[in-house]
Amino acid sequence: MKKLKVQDLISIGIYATVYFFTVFIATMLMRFTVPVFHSLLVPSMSALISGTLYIIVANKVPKFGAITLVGSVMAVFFFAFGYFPLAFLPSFLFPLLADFVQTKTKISDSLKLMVSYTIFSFGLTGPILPLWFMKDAYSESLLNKGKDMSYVNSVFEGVSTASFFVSMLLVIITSIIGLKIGKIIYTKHFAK
Amino acid sequence: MENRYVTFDPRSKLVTVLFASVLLISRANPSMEFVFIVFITFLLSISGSFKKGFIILISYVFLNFLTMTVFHEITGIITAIVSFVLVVYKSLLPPIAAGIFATQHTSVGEWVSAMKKWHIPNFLVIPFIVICRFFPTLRSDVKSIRQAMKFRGIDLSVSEVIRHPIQAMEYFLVPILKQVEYTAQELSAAALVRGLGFEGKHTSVIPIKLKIQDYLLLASLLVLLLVEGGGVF
Repeated sequence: MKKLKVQDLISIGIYATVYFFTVFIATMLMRFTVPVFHSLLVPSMSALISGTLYIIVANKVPKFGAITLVGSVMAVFFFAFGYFPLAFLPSFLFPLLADFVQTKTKISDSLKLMVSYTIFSFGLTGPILPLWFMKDAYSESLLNKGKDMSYVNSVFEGVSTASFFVSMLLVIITSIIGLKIGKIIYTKHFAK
Repeated sequence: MENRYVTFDPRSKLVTVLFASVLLISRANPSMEFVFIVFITFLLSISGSFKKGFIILISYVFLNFLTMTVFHEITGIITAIVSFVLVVYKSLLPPIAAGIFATQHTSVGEWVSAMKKWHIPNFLVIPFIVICRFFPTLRSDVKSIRQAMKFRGIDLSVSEVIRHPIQAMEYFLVPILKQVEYTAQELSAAALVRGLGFEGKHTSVIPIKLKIQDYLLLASLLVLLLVEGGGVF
């Protein structure tokens, strides 16, 4: 395993900042265009726009650890700004898995990039997963107020389960599209 | 550095954040949540951000008020969703408050020396420093790129982004990514000159020491934890 040098670490820090910035743009775009459930679409939106950055990171620092660290910037952010602990775990684990796929496996390059980018994109699902997990907390408080369980279920069944699968599927689709766009931009401007 | 406000060690700030997260997972009872919010407000006030603490306290009371009165009766899907969002925001407020407390008045240098004290490896410390230092640069870069785009008649408004998404993305992201490459090279050179690549032990000018207020903070957190634990059993 090639070790990360100081220069690599600095590049990683910078790319991580840019990644943080693209996630910020995605969040803002969604906030101004989609009402109420904009947060569900943030992972797919940022998957759509950070393809180029991902290709650059994979090419510039082709060592194990780079992708993990770039993704973990979101984990640190979610942690420091006190989101759910569950929120920071996915944004560390999914990039780690993507890193393994990108640097340790021996499948063809373009397929590898696509698979690892899709996994990487799931890292942002952290803050929205509690929307489904904290449903328990919410229904608990409803039950305490004297509602019965069947009522709680009827309120949330349609909203939750369907939206969960839709938003997860959307992440996969948008990350494939995002990588295609990223590749076009990369070959046009960055490939030497 | 003489300061009339009380300052806390980065480490005890981090413990506060952790405590808030634990509070959220363990689904503490509302009174404990309220006590913690008041506690954080107090901490923010004595460390010099009275206004922020006040805003947090007010918004907590306001959210609670809404859940208790307006959305108490759930009549349909709309009220259900609104009330759900309210509950989520309300329970996310303590950790957010703790996060604000942790990031207020703590310089990068302090965080770094605290991290060094904890023997956190270089491959985590260096990206962290770079992110903190590079963020303002990136912001000014973005500003000048947007100005250049306006000069050329390319607007980056929401409607324009929706009409030509790929074009907007290309014109916006490519300059940033190009600029970033140069910055990375410059920063690497600067870092090497400053001896960041040195393998041995680094020294720091910032003293990291737990003071009396840190012990008081940690002790009161422990008391809160014990009370919470006692309530469960």
